[in-house]
Amino acid sequence: MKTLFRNILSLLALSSTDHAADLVSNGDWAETITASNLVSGAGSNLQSQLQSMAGVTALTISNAPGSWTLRARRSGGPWSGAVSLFVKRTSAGSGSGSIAGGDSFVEVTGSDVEIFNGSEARSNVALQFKLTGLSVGVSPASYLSSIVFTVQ
Amino acid sequence: MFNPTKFLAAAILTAGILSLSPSALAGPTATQTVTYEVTAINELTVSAPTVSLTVNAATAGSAPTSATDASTSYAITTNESARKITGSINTNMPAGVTLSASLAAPTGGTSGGALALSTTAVDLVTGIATLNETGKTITYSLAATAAAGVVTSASKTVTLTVTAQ
Repeated sequence: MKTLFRNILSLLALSSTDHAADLVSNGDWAETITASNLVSGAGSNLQSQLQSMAGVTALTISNAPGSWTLRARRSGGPWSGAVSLFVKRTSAGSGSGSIAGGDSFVEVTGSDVEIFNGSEARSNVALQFKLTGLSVGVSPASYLSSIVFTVQ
Repeated sequence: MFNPTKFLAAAILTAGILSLSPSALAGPTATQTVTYEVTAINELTVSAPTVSLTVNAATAGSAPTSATDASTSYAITTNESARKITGSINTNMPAGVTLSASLAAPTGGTSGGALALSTTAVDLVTGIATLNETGKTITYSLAATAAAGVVTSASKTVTLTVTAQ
């Protein structure tokens, strides 16, 4: 019986311990770049920038006991070294908490970079991506990267 | 036999486990994927859809004087390497009449010079790689021998193609 109660107390202690906020994301972004992306047809270069629609990805932060910071980084490939990825927040989402920053594009690299910050719960925070550095010098191929979002 | 103490303990244990479940399933990290595919792009356009050439003069004692036109140009974009521009016409020229084309080479490419066009494609420019350029001159030339006689007016469709070398 003592063992049983000790286990119960341990579990209750665990369940009441403060923990990092939970983060859920929805929505990947995929683009195909063709001759229709040339600035003005044959003889011109590719449009150097390409943006996703606003809200292509949505983030929900929950179980946040206080303030938090959302960071992002790129992971994996293949990825063209000439191309850079940016992300910005296009909505504040909804919820009991607050949110600030991230309304201008921030480059996402291989290292964590702050996108925005806030406090407590926020649902459906909309994001938009942008690629820069596109040109005919980027070899025809399929490129991809995981975007790892972390809330702390 | 029902033991209220053990039942209560089991209930508390279950509640404790359930209270842990959400944080065990979610976490502070989430991942999305960004994918972009660049397709092969090989685009070529010409500055004007038609060119007219007429051979109607000669120096006495010589073959008829060729007609030349260098009023048109082409623009090209390719994101591939080892490309070339070939040229052909939809039907062959009549005997004794030759339609030639010469394309100025874009940067890094090599012009094949003035080449007679037929239904078999010829290499007008070779050695093209990842570029976008405009205003590259196309020079057409129409030549006829005296033996060709009077040839009625005809139209030919010239097809320029960017293709693998």
